[in-house]
Amino acid sequence: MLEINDLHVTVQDKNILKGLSLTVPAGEVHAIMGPNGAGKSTTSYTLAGREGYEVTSGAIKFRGEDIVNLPPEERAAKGMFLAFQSPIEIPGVTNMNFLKTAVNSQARMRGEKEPSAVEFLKMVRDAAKKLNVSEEMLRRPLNVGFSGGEKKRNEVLQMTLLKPSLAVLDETDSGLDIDALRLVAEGVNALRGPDTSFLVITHYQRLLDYIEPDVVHILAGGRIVKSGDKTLARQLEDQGYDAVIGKAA
Amino acid sequence: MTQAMDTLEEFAGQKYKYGFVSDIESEFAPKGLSEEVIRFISAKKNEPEWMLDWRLAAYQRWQTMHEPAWAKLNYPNVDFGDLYYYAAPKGKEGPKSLDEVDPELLETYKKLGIPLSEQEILAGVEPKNRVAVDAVFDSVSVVTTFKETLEEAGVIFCPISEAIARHPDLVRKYLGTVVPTSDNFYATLNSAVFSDGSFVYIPEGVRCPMELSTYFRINASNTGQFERTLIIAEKNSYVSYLEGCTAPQRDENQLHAAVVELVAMEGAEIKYSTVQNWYPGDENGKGGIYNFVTKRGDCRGDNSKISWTQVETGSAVTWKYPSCILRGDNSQGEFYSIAITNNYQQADTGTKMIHLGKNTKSRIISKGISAGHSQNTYRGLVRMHSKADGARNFTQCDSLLMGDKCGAHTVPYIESRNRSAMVEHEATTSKISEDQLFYCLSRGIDPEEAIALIVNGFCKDVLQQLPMEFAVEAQKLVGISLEGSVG
Amino acid sequence: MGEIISIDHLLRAATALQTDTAPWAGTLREQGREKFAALGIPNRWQESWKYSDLSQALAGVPAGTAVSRTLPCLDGAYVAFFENGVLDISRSALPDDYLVPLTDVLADSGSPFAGTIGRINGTEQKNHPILGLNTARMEQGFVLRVPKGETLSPPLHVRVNWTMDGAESLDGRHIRLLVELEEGAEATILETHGGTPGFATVVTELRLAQSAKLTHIRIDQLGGDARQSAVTLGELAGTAQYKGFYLSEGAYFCRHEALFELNGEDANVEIDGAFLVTGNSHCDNTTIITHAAPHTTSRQAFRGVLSGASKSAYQGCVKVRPDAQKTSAYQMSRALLLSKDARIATKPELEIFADDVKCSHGATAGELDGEALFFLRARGIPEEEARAMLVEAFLQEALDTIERPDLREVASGAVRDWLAVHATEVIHAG
Repeated sequence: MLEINDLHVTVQDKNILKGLSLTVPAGEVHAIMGPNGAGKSTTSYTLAGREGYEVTSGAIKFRGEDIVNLPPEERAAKGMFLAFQSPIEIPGVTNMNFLKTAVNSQARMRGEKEPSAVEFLKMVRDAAKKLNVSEEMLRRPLNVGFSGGEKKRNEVLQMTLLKPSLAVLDETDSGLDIDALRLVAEGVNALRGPDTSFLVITHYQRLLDYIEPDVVHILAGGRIVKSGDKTLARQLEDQGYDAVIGKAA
Repeated sequence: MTQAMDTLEEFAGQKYKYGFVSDIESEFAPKGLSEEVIRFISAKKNEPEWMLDWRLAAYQRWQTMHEPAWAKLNYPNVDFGDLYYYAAPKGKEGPKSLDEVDPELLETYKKLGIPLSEQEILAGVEPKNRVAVDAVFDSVSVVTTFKETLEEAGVIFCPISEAIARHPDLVRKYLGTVVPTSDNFYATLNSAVFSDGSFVYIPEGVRCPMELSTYFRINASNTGQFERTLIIAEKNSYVSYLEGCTAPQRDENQLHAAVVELVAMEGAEIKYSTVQNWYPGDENGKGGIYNFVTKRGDCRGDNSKISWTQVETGSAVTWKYPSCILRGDNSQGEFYSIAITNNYQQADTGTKMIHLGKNTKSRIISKGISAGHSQNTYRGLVRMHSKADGARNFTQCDSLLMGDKCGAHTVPYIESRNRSAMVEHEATTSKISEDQLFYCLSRGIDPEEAIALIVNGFCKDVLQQLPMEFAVEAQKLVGISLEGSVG
Repeated sequence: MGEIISIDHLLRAATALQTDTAPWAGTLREQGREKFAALGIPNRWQESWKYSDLSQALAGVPAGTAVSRTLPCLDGAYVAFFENGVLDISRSALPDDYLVPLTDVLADSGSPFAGTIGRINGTEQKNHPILGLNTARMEQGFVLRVPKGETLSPPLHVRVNWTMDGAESLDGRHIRLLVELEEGAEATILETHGGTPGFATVVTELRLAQSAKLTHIRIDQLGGDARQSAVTLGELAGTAQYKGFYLSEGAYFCRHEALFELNGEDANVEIDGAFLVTGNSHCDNTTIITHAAPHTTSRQAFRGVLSGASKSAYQGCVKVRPDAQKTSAYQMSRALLLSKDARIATKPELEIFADDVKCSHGATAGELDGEALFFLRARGIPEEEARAMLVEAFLQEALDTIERPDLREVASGAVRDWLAVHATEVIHAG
C-alpha cells in the first residue's frame, strides 16, 4: 500500500526527515511513535503533500505509484487521507457543503459517478449517527466553534465518507477524553479491512489500546530507529523513549 | 464599589516629584531664533564649517514650513521668537571629569535618582546592572560616566557635540540619513538649533557591555531643549539604550523638540527605551512641557532589529511617533508603548512601521490610559510596500478610560500593497473593569492599590519589555501618574 | 472625455434647473453653492479623502472595460426608476401614498420637508463638499414618508440607471432622496446603481423617529468608467433601528459614505458590506457613526475581495460623545488580496469621549489562508475549486447578515454573478 524509501525532507531549510523508510502492506495498521521533534507531523504533512515540505531525496510509493510530485488533491483522490492534528476552521463553508464538495471532487477525479443528493444525504446521516455527530454540527460552518472532541469526530466522519485506502491519523488522540477516544477508535476500526491501511501517529500508547496495531515503529531524529509488534508500544510506555531507543542504538 | 469609584474621582493628585528648580548660573544665547543665534550655538561648540552650513540650510528650510495641525492636539501657538535656544550651566566648556562638575548639578541628578559618581555606582550596583549615563542639562551634556570602560570594548558613548569634534566622519556619514533635515517642522527646527544629545557607536560584532542611558533635564525657564541623538549599531552588534527626562514645575509651557536617529546594520539589534516624565502641568492644565519629538530607526541591514519601548507619563502636550523603516530583508521592528494622560494633558503618539524588505516583521502593542480632562490618541501607520513579500504586522491598541471628562482615540492607517503580506490590527476601548475592581476590593486591597494593580496588569505586555530596573520605576510611575484622577 | 471638470463646471447647470422653486429651496441651493465653492473638489490632502482623490479622478481619463451584467431586480416591489439621473415616472411603480417627486417638494413653499432636507446629521453635512454640490444642484429625487405605525409594503426598489455616454454627463448629475419614517414606521429599501455616469453624486437623507425600522440594501454595479460619490446620512431617535448592507464593485471612482448619528437611547445601527473590486477600479467605503445618546449600539463589518490592479479603501470612524455612556460599538474590516497589484488602505478610527463604553475594531489584510487551502486540497478538492470556495465562504459571512430571504438572494445573486464574470481573477493568483 505505502512504501517510503530513504526519505529526506526539509522544512524551511531545516532537515527534518533524514532517511525515513517504512512499508505498510494492505490491510495493516502501523503505528509511528516518537518523542517531540522526531518528525511525526512532518511525516504526515509530507505524505499529504503540504507546500513547504520539500522532499530532497527518496521516494514515496502509494499503491505502486510515486506520489512525491502530486498535488494534495490528487493524492486524496487516489485514496490518501490525513486526519489533521488540529483541523482547520473555515467560517462561511458549512460542514455539509464541504463534505459534498469533497466527495464529488474525488468521484470526478476518479472518473466515478457523483452520488445523487439523496444518496449523499443518506451516507452522511448514517455515518454521522454512528459517530454521534449531530444534524446541527453538519449545518454549522466547518469546525467553527467545535470542541476538540467534535473536531476529531468530524475528521473521522470525513474519513468514513471518503473511504480512503490509506488513512494517516496525526495525533488524533490529543485532547480527547476517554469517551471521545473510544468513539473515534470505533469509527476507525469500522473501516478496517483487507484493502485499507492505517498509519497511526501518536505520542502515547493510549490510542493503541483501542486501535490495535500490527506493527509499531519508533521515529527519532527523522528516521525509524526501531520496529516491533504492539508490545513495543507497551515497552515504551513503561520504560520511556530514552531507554528503548538507547537499546536500539 | 461606589466608594471605590468616589475615591477614583476625588483622590487629590500627588505632586510632581521632580518639579524643583536648581540654582545654577546659566549662560544663554540671545532670545529668539536667527542666523546669528545659530552661528552663536555653532561657535560655542567650536563646530566645523560643514556642521554650521548644515544647520543654516535647515534653518532656511524651516522658515518656509508650518507647524503641523493634523494631530488631535489643542494648544496655543508656540511663539518661536520668544524662546531661548541655548542655555548652559556656566563653567568650563566641553567634556568634564566628575570632579570638575558643579556640585549643585551632581546634587540635582542625585535628587532625580541618577547617581553620576562612578564610585557610588560601583559600590552600590551589581556589575550586570550597571548603567553608563550621559547627563544633559538644558542645552549641554554635563558628564558622561563609564566612558573608559566602554572605550575598552570599542564602544563610543559621548555627547554629540564631542562626537562632531572627535569623530566627524562618523557623524557626517549618518547624521540626517534617517530623519532628513527637511522631514517635518520640529525635526527641521531641531536640525538648525540642536545643542546636545548623545552619540553611540557600536562596532561590528560588539555586544555593548552595559546599558547606556541619557538623562535629560530642562532647568532654565523659557528655554527650548533640542537634543539630537544618533545611535549606530554596526553589523551583528547589540545595544540597549535608556532615556529619561524631567523638568521643573513652572507656570509657563516649555518646548522640547528632539530628534533621535537609529541605524541598525546587518544582524544588529538596538533596543531603545524611554521613560518620559517631563513636567505635565498642574491640575488646571497650567504649565508643562510641549514635547514634539521625531524618533526613527532604520533597519538598514538584513536580519536587523529595532525595538522601541516608551512609557509616556509626562508633558502637557506630546507629539511623538517612534518609527521603524524595515529596509533589510527579515528585519524586525517593535513598538511597545504606555501613554498615560491625566488632568489636562494631551498626547498624540504612536508609530510607523514601513515594510520595504522581504519577510520583515513588526509588532505594535500600545496601551493608552486617559484620566481627568486629558486627551490620549494613538496614531499609527503600517505600510506594506509592494516588494515586502511575506511581511507580517500585528497591532494591538488598547485604551482605558477613567472618568467621564477624558477622551481616548485610535487612528490607525493600514496600507497594504502586497498580497503575501499579512496585517492584523485589533483595538479596544473600555473603562476599568468594575468586576476586576470589585474582586480586588473584596480581597481587602485598597481602591488606589487595586487600580494601580489593574492598570499595571493592563500594561503588562509593555512593562515586561523594559530593562528590569526601569520596569520597577515605570510600574511605580504608572500608579503615581494616575493618582488624583482615579487613584 | 478628458476635459478637466472644474468647480465652475460643476456649478454651472448644463441642464437648466427647475425655476418654479419655493424661496426656501432657492436659499438651500444657494447655501450649497457657497459651501461647494468654498470647499472645492475634494483631494487627497484632505484627511477624509486621503485615499480617494476625487479631484484627480475628475481630471483623469477613465479607460475601464464595461462588462455587461444582469442588474438585480426585486420581484413585486415598488419601483422608483431613475434614468440618467431623472425620475422616470412611466417606468416606475411608485407608492403614491408615501412618495412625492422632489421637483414637487421644491416647488411647494409650504412643504413640510422644508426644514428637513439638508439638515439630517447636520454635524457631518457642515464641511462636506459633496453635500454642498449635491444641494446646489438639487432637483431630481424624491421624498418618502411612512406615517406613524405604518409599514411600507412591498419594499421600494430605487433603480438608478445610466445609459448616456460619459461626455454627455460630464457636468455631473445629482440625485437627492429623503426618507422619513415616523414613530414605529417600517420600510425596506433596495437601492441599485448601474451603468456609467460621467460623474454623479447621490445623497440620501434618512430620518428614523422613535422605534422606526429601516432595512437598506445598496448595490453599486457601475461600469468601469463611472465616477460616483454617494453619501447616505442618517439620524436615529430612541430604539430606532437601521440595518444596512452595502455591496460595491467599485468603478473608475466609486465612493460611498454612511454618516449616522444615534440620537436616542437604544438606537442601533448595523452595517455590513462587501466590496468586490478588480481591473483598475477604485472603491471607497467610509462610515462615520456618532453615538450621541446613552445605551446606543453600532456595528460595521466589511469584507473586500480585491484583484487586478484595483485600489480600495475602508475608513470607519466611531465617535462617542461625552454623554453617550454605555455605548457599544464594534467594527471589523477584512480584505483578501488576490493579485499582486491590488491595494487596500484601511483606517478604522475611534474617537471616544465617554468612559463607560465598549468599543473595539479589528482589521486584517492578506491573501487566502494557506492552511485552509491545504485542508480542502487534502480532502480532494482541486486547487481552483478550493480557492473559489474560500472566496465565496469569505463573502458568505457578510451575505448571511441579510435577514430577508428575497433581499439576501438579490445580493447573493449579484455576488455570484461577479464571481462568475471574474472567475479567472479569483481562482488564479495573478
